[in-house]
Amino acid sequence: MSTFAIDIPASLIARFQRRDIDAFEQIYRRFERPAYTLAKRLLDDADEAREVLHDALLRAWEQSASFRGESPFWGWLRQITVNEALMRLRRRRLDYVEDLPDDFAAAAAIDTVAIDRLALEQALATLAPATRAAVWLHLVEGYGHDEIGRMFDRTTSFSKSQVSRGIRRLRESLAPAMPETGNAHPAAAL
Amino acid sequence: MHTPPLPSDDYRDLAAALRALPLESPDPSAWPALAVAARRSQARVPGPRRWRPAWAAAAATAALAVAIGWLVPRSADDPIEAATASITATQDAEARLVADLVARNQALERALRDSGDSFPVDADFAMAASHVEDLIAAIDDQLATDLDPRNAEVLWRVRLGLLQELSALRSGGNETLMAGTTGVIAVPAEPADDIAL
Repeated sequence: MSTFAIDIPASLIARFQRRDIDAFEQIYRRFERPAYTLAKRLLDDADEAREVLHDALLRAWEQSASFRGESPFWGWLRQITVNEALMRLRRRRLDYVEDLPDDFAAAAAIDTVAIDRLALEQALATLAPATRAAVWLHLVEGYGHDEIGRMFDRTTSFSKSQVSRGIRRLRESLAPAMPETGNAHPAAAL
Repeated sequence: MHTPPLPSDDYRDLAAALRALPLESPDPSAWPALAVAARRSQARVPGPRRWRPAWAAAAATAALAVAIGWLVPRSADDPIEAATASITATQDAEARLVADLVARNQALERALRDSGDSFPVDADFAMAASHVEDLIAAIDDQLATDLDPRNAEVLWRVRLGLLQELSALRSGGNETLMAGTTGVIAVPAEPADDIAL
């Protein structure tokens, strides 16, 4: 479940849409950490993530009337945040996608208990920006490959290949951190 | 070149590990700047504002002049600066002063907020109130970026004065305004003819 999945009372949304600054602050407080974290995972840059948080929430405030309640409020806000972050990614261009050889060695599955946070964050940071974003959007936020492909102005295959390659890269990066206890699975069938 | 498809359950462990990463908070918070931007945005939205009373414009100009006057560095032998320096002799005293001003700002802001939608019916007063809100937003903007504690004191003081003016405008307190008793904004006794902006 996405960390964005926070239910917001309809009355609060209504006040937000009437441009009540108190309601806006309440919404900010609820979504500050999920939105910032999502942006930071996609961009791997604290300053840019903070800017995305600011810009996304301001856009939501200014365009609050466009939220019609057909989907959860958090999904609407998450999409605005993702769009802001991906727009910045596209501006970067350099090393935009992961370009790994297809005979990339299959790495072992990871032991999620043994892998510490730092190792995982470092492994994420080794991914090319678009690859990291596709992996995060698919594995954590639950976006489908077709949605991710559209968000990148690319195809569904693009998303599939980036996610696949990103996962392999992560497994390879994390493999040395695995304890030699035999807990880990043997080589994953990737 | 072909990447084989990934079995759907092959990355559950990895997904679980990624989801388990803790949430992070921006440092510093993005809210102060966002609140300023939101207020600016809010101020742009209200309906047609083609006409603005001249006295409101004059009040705004006077307020800014006062603020700028306070913020312009003065020479060392400036008596005002000397007096200010004696009052704020220590950083602790300065911090207490700012804290007091912040508290007074917050109290007045809460009172304004609690008054809900009691905006003046008179269009001129409504426009003037809107303009004062713009000025408060400008002060907030300055407070968000200017970390000099001495400037902070002046800015909070100006902001307090503007909030007092706003309170008077919203409550229809034109008597207060006409007398110019709140000090920060000099308001002419009678509204002048409307001017196009």
